[in-house]
Amino acid sequence: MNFKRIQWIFLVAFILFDIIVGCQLLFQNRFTITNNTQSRQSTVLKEMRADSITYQGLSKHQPNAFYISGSRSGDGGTLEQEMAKLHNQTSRFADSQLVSEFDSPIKVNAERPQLRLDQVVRRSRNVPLGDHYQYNAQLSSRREAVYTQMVKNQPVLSSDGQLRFRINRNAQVTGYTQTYLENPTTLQQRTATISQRQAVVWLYRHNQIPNNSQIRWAILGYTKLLTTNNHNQAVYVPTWAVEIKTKTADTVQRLNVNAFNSTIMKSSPDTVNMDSINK
Amino acid sequence: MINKLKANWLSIALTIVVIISLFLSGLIWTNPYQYEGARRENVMKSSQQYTAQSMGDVYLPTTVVRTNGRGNQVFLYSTQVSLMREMKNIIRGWQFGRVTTVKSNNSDVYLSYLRRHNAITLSYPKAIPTLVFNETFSQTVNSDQVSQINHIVIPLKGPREVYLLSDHRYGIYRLQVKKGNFKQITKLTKGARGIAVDHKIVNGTTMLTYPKSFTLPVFAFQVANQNIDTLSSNLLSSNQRSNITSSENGDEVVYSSGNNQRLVYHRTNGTVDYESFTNSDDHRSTDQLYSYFYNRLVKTGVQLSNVRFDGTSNHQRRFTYRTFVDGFPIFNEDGYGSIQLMAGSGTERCQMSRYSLQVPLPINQQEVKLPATPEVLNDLHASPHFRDIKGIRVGYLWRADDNNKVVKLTPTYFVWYHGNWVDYEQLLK
Repeated sequence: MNFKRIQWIFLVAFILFDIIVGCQLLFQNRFTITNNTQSRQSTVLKEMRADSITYQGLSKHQPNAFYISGSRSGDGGTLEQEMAKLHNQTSRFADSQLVSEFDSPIKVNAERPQLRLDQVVRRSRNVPLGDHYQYNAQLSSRREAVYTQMVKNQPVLSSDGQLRFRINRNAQVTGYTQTYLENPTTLQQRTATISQRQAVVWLYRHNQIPNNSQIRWAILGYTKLLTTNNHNQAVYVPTWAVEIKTKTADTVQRLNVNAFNSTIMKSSPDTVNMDSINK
Repeated sequence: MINKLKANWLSIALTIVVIISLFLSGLIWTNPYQYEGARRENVMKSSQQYTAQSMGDVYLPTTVVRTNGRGNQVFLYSTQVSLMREMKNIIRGWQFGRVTTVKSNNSDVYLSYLRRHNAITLSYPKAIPTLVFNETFSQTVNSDQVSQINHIVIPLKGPREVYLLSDHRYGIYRLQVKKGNFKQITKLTKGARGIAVDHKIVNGTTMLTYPKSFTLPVFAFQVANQNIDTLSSNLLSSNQRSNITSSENGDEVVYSSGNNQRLVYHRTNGTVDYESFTNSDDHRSTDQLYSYFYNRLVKTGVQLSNVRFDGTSNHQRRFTYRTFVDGFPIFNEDGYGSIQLMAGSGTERCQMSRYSLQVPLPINQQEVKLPATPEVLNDLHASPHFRDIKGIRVGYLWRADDNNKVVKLTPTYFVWYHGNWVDYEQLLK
């Protein structure tokens, strides 16, 4: 009889213990799940689908990138100097931009102009400093093949380091315009950027993506953040460039998100006065 | 059979609950101390910006020293990668075995471990609890055996072991490495720049001295000027939805929320002093403060990418978080670039400023030459303040200009003088 009573007491005590500890563990788990950004992001992605915004697989990878300083090659700069090596083309240099016309147009594959142009770019008698540039499919169109200068393995998305080939109706390249970013230098240790997915989710949450639209692509590259009065050097920041096409009106819109602090990039960069510290 | 079950149902039920309780205890046992939400990425409500800074990124060691085969030590820094963050990622993949105590209470042996040949030493600015180390490096070192850590010594040759050193009573602990690739560490530190240094023990604390003169680059930054309304609502926000009221008083603006929260903004230098009072005797232990303050830090809305824990004072109730550039701390008279958090009985305080470093700017200036530490100490010896100097370290001075839009950071020595890090040249004047 006594033994039975002890058993009862133990049973009640252990049940209480189990309930309290179990609840605590359960509660703790739920706490971390609801605070998980990843799952919050996937709910946003679901909402986007409900608003008929289409996109293809968005990466969760957070690439490392730098703040970069550099200046666009101007009068007497590297790009103008290299111009002397060019052959079989008429070229001029004005407003920090090289404009060149080939004497005889180059025939390219209309679908994949880069197959031929990759060879053209590699020779300094065709295109100056060509080995600094790489073909960029996203920025290119049927009438223009765009090569971007590569800085620390990322393309320059601003107009300061690009090579644009004009393609005519007969799939012939008639000439090109070129800009070059001189002395790109890292300003700070490399830092993780936001992921492709975070950039798109951020845009959606800030009502930048209209309903019924398609996200055509999102690429990471360097965009001019600000210019300084210190020898005209500018600061470039990694940005996610996102192209959005509305399905109804067929308009295309391009948005840039600063990949370090997730803010929308201004269309014209600020100028910073460094006189007070550059003595 | 059923009859038997019926007869013994009480014993059976008891056995089942005991087994469940054992299972639950096991779960708790194997789960290391859980910090409240420390592992999650933080999405701030006010500006909806993503900060990828986890708690482990804020509580990282701040110096990396490599000792070669002849015992020469160099301080490593890099302009390209954050050595410490890479180290963290490497070590997080390691698996440690048992902890054994090697020695304690012997400063000579302690120093010999700190100066161990062919090793990498990672040091914290001040001792941190082992729980924080576990959180940062995703390990489960028993905190009953090792309560706090100042240095982590990773021998690159010889046995596969890692040593944890604690300045308190000169404790040396050995960790067996079950799984871990030491070559990654060698590879990482290969490209780094180095400055000759020496580990010393002065007045019972370890110190890093620079035996030769050396040069460091100058940096320039655009200064972010946080909106005071945003900052005050970030700091004053609480669970109760009480309105924030503000009143002006000369150069000060006082914001308050309810009766228990107050924020004073000093317009002249842009600093902010926040205080809150709670009636409850809810006293957080020092170990808990590490995660609690991390969450407070996130709430301020300041960009944390270069902010690191930089030690405690006032009996471990006052925590300092500081901005670092390429591995060096930044100091300023008005406290720009640092955040101080304090917890007293029933009160909590936060001191910070509106200004923080934002975008690095190109500056074409020559590197600054700094003298060797013994020279600096010699110069200071002549000064009447020498007796009050407690520590010395190399860092960058944030000298504010009139408009506080851009700032130049110049390297210099700082000495611990009357509870503050002061530019040593100030004391020589």
